[in-house]
Amino acid sequence: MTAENPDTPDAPRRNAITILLWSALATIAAPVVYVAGRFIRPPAGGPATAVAGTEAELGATPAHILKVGSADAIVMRDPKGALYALNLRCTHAGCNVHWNPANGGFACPCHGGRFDRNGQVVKGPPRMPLRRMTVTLDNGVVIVSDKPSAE
Amino acid sequence: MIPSPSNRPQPEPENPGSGPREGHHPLMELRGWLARKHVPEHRHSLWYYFGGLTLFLLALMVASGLLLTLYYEPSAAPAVTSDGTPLAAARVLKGLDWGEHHYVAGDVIALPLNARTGEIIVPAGMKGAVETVKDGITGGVIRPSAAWVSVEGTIMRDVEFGPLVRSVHVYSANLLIATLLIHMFSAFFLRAYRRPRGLMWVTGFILLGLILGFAFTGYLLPWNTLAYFATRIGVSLPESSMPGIGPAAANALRGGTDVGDATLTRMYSAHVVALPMAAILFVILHLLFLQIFGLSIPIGARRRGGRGLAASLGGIAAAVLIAWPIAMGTFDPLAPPVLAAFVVLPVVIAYLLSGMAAPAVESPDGTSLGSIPFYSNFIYRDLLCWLVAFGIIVTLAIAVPWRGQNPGSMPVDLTRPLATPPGIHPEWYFMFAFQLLRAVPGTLAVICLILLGAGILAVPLLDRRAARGERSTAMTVLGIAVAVGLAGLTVWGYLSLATG
Repeated sequence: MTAENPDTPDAPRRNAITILLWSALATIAAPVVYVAGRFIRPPAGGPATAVAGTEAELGATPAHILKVGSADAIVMRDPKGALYALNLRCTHAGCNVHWNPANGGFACPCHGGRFDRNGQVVKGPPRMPLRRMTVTLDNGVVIVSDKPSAE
Repeated sequence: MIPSPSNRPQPEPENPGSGPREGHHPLMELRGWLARKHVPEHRHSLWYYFGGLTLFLLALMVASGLLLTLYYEPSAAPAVTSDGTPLAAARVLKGLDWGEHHYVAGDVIALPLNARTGEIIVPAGMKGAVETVKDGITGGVIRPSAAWVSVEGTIMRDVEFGPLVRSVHVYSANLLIATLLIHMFSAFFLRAYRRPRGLMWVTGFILLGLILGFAFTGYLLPWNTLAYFATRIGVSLPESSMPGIGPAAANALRGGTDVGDATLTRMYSAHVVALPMAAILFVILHLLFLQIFGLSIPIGARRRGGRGLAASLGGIAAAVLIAWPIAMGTFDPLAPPVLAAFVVLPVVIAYLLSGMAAPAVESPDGTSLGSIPFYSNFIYRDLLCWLVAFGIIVTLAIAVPWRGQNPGSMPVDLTRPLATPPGIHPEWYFMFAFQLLRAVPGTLAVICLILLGAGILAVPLLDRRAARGERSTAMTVLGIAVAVGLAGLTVWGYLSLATG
């Protein structure tokens, strides 16, 4: 057979065809991978928001837990009376931390992480504080957004 | 036994040992096997490429389908936003740009519903451009399902390249069925089913049934009124026409006495689990039998003339692509003649181009027919054919993107009375059955369809002359009658729709 013998007159043409075909495949593979990669990326939705209640209602409770999008959040007041919200997702491995009113802190049931009422790490494996969420007031209504707080 | 160059033992270049040679990786044996494998080259070898093209389109279906499953939600439950607000259907009244999307008049979209007032919450940028869609019977608000929103909202609007991926899936599906039909009819007329390849014919026929099953189950998934009623009609066919087993079969398919949430779950399960598993099994068997029995050489095949046949087919395909849209006044890629032309073109282009680049060599056994090495000549021709087909599909998907929405396809809300879309009809590949059902009584139509299927399945047994290497005129006439009958019923169906 002439096909696989590099010494035949067909060999240069065969090599050229091989290079052309594989080049064409590679050229097509690149946009296919690009399109698939962009398709797989989840659509960017706007920040999720949730109404926590009125300012007066929240004033009566030391802590209020609510759902903001897919996140669980807690709305609290600092010593000066200003409202803030924390994402209850532990920054170590993703379990939800528990609010303990008795000692005024958060405890993670999974790996023993401890946070103070401001979300700062007290002890355990977590290295990062609990994530702060954005709290806004609209005519006395408290709205929590999963957009990270600037504070 | 018909001699087959593809599995004929070829002389070993060196050391004709039976097992892996010392110092050689076992994979080197694969290379040796590939080097020995040859594909016959004759007047009708063009038809060999439709099998490979079918396999490629099936792979494209699997790849695009896998991507679509990332976002599709198989649930008929009413859709809600991430914060639990119910959604309602709204119709766009005039073209507008909102957010990152462009909406055209007539589009149906999902907007949040004010549960207290029962009206949609219209975003500021859409004021005056949308209206709440009410069902035409009780005037209630239509709440689209999670399935509908995941298709028309998430895939078609929110995800990047979503419409492209869905269009590739839809166009590949239609081209796949067209390719499969051409592959089947060419195998029939070239008597490729004759001994010992009867099992290839049977596995191929089962694959045709499975692919039609994919088409039927996939049709329901967008969960719009067109899909809903198409499935109701399709599933009720055995119910009304087959006493005894019919109602039980229909209930099993539906998961109840009517099409509902359970039907969607069952169709989805069949579409992405049961049918793919069965299809993979039968593709493996089909290819395995191909390796065992080799490619069929048509009875009395002559070496020359292949290019003339290819050029003629290509000319007809090109003429159809030009003449059909002009005659119809619109370009519909899914019109059967256009689809057939799109299937034929890649094969013809690959055949003619590669034939010029690498002509057939003399057959190693000195017979009058030539042959080409499977690797790399044949596989390169196949690859070229797939590249052209892929180019056609992607071009269609970009230039004429598939729009799932049409005036007859509203989201289905199972809590509301449903109106059947006017002029409802199946896709082209089921049109023959649809017209048969309209033309003759249901039970007779079902008997005809069962006989047709059984007859096609039994072709290797019916044609005894082919096994002796003789062509049977009766079988040719029968094949032409079936092809003309199916095409005639399809054309009749479309003409009946056009004339009301």
